[in-house]
Amino acid sequence: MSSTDKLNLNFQNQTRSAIDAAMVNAVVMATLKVCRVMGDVEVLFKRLVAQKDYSPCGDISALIGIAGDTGEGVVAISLSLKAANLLVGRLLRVDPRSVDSYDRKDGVGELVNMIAGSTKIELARLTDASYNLSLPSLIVGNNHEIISRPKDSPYLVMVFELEGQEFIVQMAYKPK
Amino acid sequence: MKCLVVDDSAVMRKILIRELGHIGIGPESIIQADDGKKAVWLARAGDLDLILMDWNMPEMKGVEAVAEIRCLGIATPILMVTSEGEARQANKAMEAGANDYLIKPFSTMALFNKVSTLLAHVAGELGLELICPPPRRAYSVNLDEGRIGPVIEE
Repeated sequence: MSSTDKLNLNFQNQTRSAIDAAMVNAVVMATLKVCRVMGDVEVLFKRLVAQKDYSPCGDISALIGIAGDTGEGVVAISLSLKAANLLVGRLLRVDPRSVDSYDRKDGVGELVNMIAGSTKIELARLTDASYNLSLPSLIVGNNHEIISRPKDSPYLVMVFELEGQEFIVQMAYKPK
Repeated sequence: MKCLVVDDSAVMRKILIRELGHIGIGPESIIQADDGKKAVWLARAGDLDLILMDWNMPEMKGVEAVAEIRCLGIATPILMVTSEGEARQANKAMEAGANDYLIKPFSTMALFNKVSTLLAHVAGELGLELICPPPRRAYSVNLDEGRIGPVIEE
């Protein structure tokens, strides 16, 4: 995966697909960085898929809105309970089996907060605009699907793996 | 030494307390708040040496709490620790009265550098030092079998 630093895009002239490509880079890099720096763990970016080609797999999700003058978007993370316990356990440096429900939900919310924050910095750089983050929202339930997103802006789904457990980070963005 | 950690995420407060421990500020020196209003209330006592402040919190945003603390005439060093990493927001926090800004995710070294600079005038007597965090380890985890396998030093 190439670094977003290598991209030099002019927002006024770029195509939608170029924005999407830059955002995918930003989200992937943000996810890898958050897991490495805060969790002291390397996760593997496996693939990018369109939302229509991906079956929901999450037991717990957290999503956060990004809103600014030039566009709006959503960043969401969805994990199985096992993957959530693994990642939150890494954040806290505890045995994943000892992660309780409260810390699991809180930790997944903090993960998406940091991923969205890093993504927002890149988005602001690309579009030369400012954005604000919402507070994270949580969804808990077997194999749920996240539908909330800007109109006509399907999610780009990025699949990651940690210790054999897949999890996904999704991003939808719509320029105004 | 008395440090106030303000973040609406309990997990992030635990992370910050652990990381502060790595730089010589133990849990016995730390009090916590989960929103800006509580932070202002705790800061009123005027006996804090350091405040770590999140930005996005439900009751009162960190930047508003910083401004209110400064309006009370309290000069305690404040380090914003937040995911809001745009330059305009860092400027806004500094204008409100924050002393420095640390963007999540952050390393222990980055936290140490910020904290030791903010507490430079008392760092010697406080005995601040970077106590290296444990070496990175690779855990072989098998959740299906409910066990964690051998710990491998990198």
